[in-house]
Amino acid sequence: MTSRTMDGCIKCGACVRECPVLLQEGQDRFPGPRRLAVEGPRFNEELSALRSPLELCTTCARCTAACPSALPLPEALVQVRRLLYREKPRPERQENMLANIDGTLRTVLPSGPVTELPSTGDVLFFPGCIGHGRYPEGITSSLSLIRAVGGRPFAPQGWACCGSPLEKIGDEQRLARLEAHNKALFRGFDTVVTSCPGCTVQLRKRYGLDPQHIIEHIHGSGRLRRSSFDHGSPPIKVALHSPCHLARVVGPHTLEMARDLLDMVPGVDVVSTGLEDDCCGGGGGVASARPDVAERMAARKVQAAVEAGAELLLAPCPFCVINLGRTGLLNVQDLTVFLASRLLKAEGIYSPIP
Amino acid sequence: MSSSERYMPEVLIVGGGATGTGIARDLAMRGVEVLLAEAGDLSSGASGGNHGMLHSGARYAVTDPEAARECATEGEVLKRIAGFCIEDTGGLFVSLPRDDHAYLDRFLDGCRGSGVRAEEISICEALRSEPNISSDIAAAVRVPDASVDPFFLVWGMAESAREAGATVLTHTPVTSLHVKEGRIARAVLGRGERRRTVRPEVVVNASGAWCGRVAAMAGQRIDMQLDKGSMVVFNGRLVNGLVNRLRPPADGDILVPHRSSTILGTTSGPGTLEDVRATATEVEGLLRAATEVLPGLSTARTIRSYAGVRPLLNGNGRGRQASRAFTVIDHSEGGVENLLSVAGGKLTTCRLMAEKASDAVMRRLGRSGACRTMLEEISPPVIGGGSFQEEVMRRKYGAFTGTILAECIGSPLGREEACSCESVSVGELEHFAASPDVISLSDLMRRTRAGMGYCQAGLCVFRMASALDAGEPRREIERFLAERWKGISPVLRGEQLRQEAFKAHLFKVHGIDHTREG
Repeated sequence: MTSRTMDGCIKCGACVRECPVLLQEGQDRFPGPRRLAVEGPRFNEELSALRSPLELCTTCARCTAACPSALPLPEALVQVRRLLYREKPRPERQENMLANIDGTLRTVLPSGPVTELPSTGDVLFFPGCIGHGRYPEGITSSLSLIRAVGGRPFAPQGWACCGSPLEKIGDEQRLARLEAHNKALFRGFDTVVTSCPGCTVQLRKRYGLDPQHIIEHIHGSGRLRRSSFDHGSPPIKVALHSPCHLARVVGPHTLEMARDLLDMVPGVDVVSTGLEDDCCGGGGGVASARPDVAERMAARKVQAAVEAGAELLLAPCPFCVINLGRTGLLNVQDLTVFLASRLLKAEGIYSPIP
Repeated sequence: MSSSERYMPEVLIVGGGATGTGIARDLAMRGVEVLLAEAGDLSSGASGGNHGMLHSGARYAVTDPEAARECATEGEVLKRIAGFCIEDTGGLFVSLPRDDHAYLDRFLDGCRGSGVRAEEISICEALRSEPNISSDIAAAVRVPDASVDPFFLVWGMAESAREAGATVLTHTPVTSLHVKEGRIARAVLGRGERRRTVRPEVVVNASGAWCGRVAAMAGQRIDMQLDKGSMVVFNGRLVNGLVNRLRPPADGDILVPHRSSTILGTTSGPGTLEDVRATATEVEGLLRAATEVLPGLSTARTIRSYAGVRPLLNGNGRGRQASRAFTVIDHSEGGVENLLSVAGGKLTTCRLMAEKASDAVMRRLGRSGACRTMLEEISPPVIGGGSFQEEVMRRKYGAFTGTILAECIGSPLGREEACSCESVSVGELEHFAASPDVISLSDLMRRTRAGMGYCQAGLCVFRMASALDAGEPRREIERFLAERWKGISPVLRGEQLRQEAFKAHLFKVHGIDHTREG
């Protein structure tokens, strides 16, 4: 039958106006969420002509936020992907990702040294594939911050990808396999801390867990304060990116927490770019399917940060950090890396980033 | 062809539905000079107000074997020659536990007897091909039903007739037929500046529900029975192929997946020529019956309703019992030797009706020439690559897409989307608006599907009006929206209620109340 999203649209146009990919790429390349999740799926054979534009949705969920009926447009769009990709091959880089999963249970193979994680402790930390394989300093910083607020972080041996990228590109079979694998490892724990918002959302939605993003965890502990940070650091102007899956799906409170934490760090001046809420372009499989689009979207944001006078762009999401960093126009860091680097050594448990 | 020749046709065909355009195509392909005059637009009668079903014949296998046999053969012929407007989805007949089980055998026997390829399949297999239907079904039979877009079939036949040399005039009513010495000596067409007199050798009355009226102009009497059928349109494809109820034909038996929608029908009851519409009671009845087969239907989004009248010949039973077979009436016996009327029949058999009628015309003209409509394609399905917009166009216009596409894709404005429900570009609207056939927004809608989607012209009506350049755009917009509203008001609930409330808000800015008729 037709989905609630297909039937619920009254054509107000809010999603079309708000879609950042449509704004960036234009209607010819990306017709927007209404065409892809509402109008298109009403057709039969014609639908297959939407394969290529479907790859361009970052699932940023700005459309859902704007929709007066709050229709779950990204989820409906992902359903269409699932339908269209049932038998046909995917973009090359997504096929590579699937091969990695089949070989290692993770989406990426580490490109350098990885941060080793303790196998015992009292706070289950889920590192996620991107942090583990592409951004080890993000893992180190998360471990430091968890320790700084009094926890002993550990990760279960042999953890697998949370499944979020598979869900976004519509690979139900592998998704089910990974979930079964992880659920067995997580048995007995109801709190999991993650540094990647994609993992946070996935663990909440599909695993019946109560996951916390690292920002929620350290802010919620109430144990960080101005005195936790080094007063001797040089002043710096930073811009803060608002990751879509963190701010829109985990919840807008996470961004307030992020600002709160930045406020504690002496010498930090957070500049406003006006584009904080815009998607970086990396999510929803776009970074792997269409890196050119992901980079164009990122460049717009980074440029705005440069123009606002930022010396550093911070994002509480390793995935966004990597995509925004692609442009090479500005230094980009995960918020946890920045916070950990400004922690007073006196906290005693901080281990410097390699 | 010069304009003086144009109005000296050998044959005048009255009516631009499936029958009339079919005959025009057939005769033109046999080399006959043909003029078709249609009072309104193409498909404005029963040809545009039907279920969009290409019958395998199964529906009539028990009650009307002759019609079943014709459908079985002709359905396959149309799939071959007019593939561009047909989706060969196949169909299922399913029965529920409370249905008469003995009917299955009669049905299968009937199909066998009339050459309908019907195959009983397991419940499992039926549910695999139609996962949304009730899992309670007791029996399932697969048949080669298909979905056809009648607007495009008729338009395609008219274009094909023109290519073969026929003149097709829409919005040109026949105002009088003058009988002198036992034959129609002249016919007057059109009004005002467009008034013309023609002196055809033969007149073919193919005016469907209006057959009686046209014949009466020549002093002839045809006893027509107008039988109304109502339908409900749902958003999106709720079934993969046609789903029919396996029982003696009754209301709400058939679901047809049609382009971006699903059409449920039909009812049967006395009809009239004017103000044909579905009522809320009919809609309720249809929904109640069909929900038994497709349980999700009760919460699906209804977009609109519509109705058509079946032009049946009296004397062959009433309503559903009336034969769907067609008749070519020779009015010589009634004293007019050059008038033929074609009455009854079905969309599926339109080509055969045209062939038989054209054979009769040829005999009357004393000319020879064999029918070629079976051999030459109107247009095959055209598929292949390109954007969604191009793909939608190809599946609408088939081989006719080429020129339209060139105009639309050529310029950025032409490519711009005017109706997003149905993915209709500004270029398409402009292409068809430039045709002399198109004088109203409804005409434009029938050729492009703009305004047929789930918002029911809520957003495209202004783009349509600016493409059309109608004399008084506001009045034309109001007229068009009133016609839409006629179909929407009986299904006004759930999502469509929210849609219409939003439209009311939008249109209010322009001082338009789209919920008012006339």
